[in-house]
Amino acid sequence: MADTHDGHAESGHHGPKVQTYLVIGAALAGFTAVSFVVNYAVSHYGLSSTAGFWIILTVAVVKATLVVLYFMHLIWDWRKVLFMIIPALILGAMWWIVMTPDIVLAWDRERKADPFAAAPVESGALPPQHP
Amino acid sequence: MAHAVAEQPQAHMGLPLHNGKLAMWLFLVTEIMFFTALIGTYLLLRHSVGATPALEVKLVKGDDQKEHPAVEHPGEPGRYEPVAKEWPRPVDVHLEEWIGAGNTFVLICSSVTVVLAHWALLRRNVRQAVLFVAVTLVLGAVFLAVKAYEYNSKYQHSVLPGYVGDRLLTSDRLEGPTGQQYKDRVRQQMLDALQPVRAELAAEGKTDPTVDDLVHRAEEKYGSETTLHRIAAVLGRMDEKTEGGYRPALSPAEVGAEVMHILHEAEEAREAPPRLSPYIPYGNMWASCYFIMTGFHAFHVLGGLVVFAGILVFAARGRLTPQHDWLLENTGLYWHFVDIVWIFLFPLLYLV
Repeated sequence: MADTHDGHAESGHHGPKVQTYLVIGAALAGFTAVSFVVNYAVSHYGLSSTAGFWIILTVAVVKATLVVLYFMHLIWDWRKVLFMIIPALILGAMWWIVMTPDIVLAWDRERKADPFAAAPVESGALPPQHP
Repeated sequence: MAHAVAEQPQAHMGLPLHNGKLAMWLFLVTEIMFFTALIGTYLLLRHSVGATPALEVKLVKGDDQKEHPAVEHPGEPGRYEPVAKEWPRPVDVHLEEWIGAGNTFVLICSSVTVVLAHWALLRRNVRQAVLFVAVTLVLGAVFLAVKAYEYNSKYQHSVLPGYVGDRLLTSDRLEGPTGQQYKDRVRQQMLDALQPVRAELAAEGKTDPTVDDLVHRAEEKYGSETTLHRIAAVLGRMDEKTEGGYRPALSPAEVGAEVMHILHEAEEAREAPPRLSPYIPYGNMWASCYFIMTGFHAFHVLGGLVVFAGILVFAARGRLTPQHDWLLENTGLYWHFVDIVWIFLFPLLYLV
């Protein structure tokens, strides 16, 4: 094998200090607590569920980014691996986009064909009674 | 290979990173696509809810019984009102957010320890690296243990794919096949739950008790505010009664509402839940998504733990050296990816 391992020399750095890792770890734990508290606020303190959703999702993305950049060393290795990761992300997004028209049209077809689907009911009205 | 002259950077063929790291990133890229497919499907399914308005019933306690004497409830006034079906909330499926948050914290700590293991090995401290790997292994095992506890809770509450009643309708005229299957399943579950009563009646010689026998015996023996009596009472009303005056059968949705009432009362009384299929709109879809995503994730965690155990065995034989930092780095990459997947799964399943 032509490839020889010489530790971290190829990446051109000696790795971050341990404090960096610990700070990032503490930040991740803190963000987890934030999302838990926001969820609690949505259910008990009347924070709107849309705001809650966006905050929690943003927090999740921030946490994942921190893990990817620092724990997975991408902040130093990005240029070496982006050729693999970018296409995967594009393909992942494309899969969703490409599937959506088929799925939505199938739902629509199902809804029209469903003999058991009922008209929307105003609250307080009774369901159909036994004959 | 010339060592005597100053080293010129050689023209390298291929990529500027180790084979192992390249391979691991390539593998992670395929895993990204794998989990994107699962999570994407879950999001699409979840947001499709509400596209089909449908009638379901929910038992509400109240004293409008006079106005809407739709259905009699044994001993308790109440009526059934239609509700729009919604995706189950965590409380509906016995999912506790704080357990998920705790698990997230455990996995984050294990990510920190695995990166510290790599850092320690870079500083040629093999002992410390092995210690950190051992801690990571333990934390990963704790994660799986908590997951097993959660799965057991789902099993106890019968929230399993295919075992939840969800497409139930309100009128016998509109009854679909799934509703009838649900009634049949619940009927059998109720008969099984009433086994002690049946055994008692069988001991007295009544080997083929009617439902009324079961109801009366359950009430005598267990009192009228107990789970078994409630089960027997619903069983008694589940089918059409023609003797002594016609009484129509409960519709599947009404059976579902009654079952949820029984389960709720049992939970209030802090009893073990009776084995009855709950009625949770979209519950089967929720359970399928939940088990597939967390199951595959747990499987990946297990794979990581196997590798960590292998590293510990390797180290126990004295063969782990500072030259093996690539091993810890690549294993760490995999473990961080597993952590990232959980970072997304936790809010999507437990929170929003």
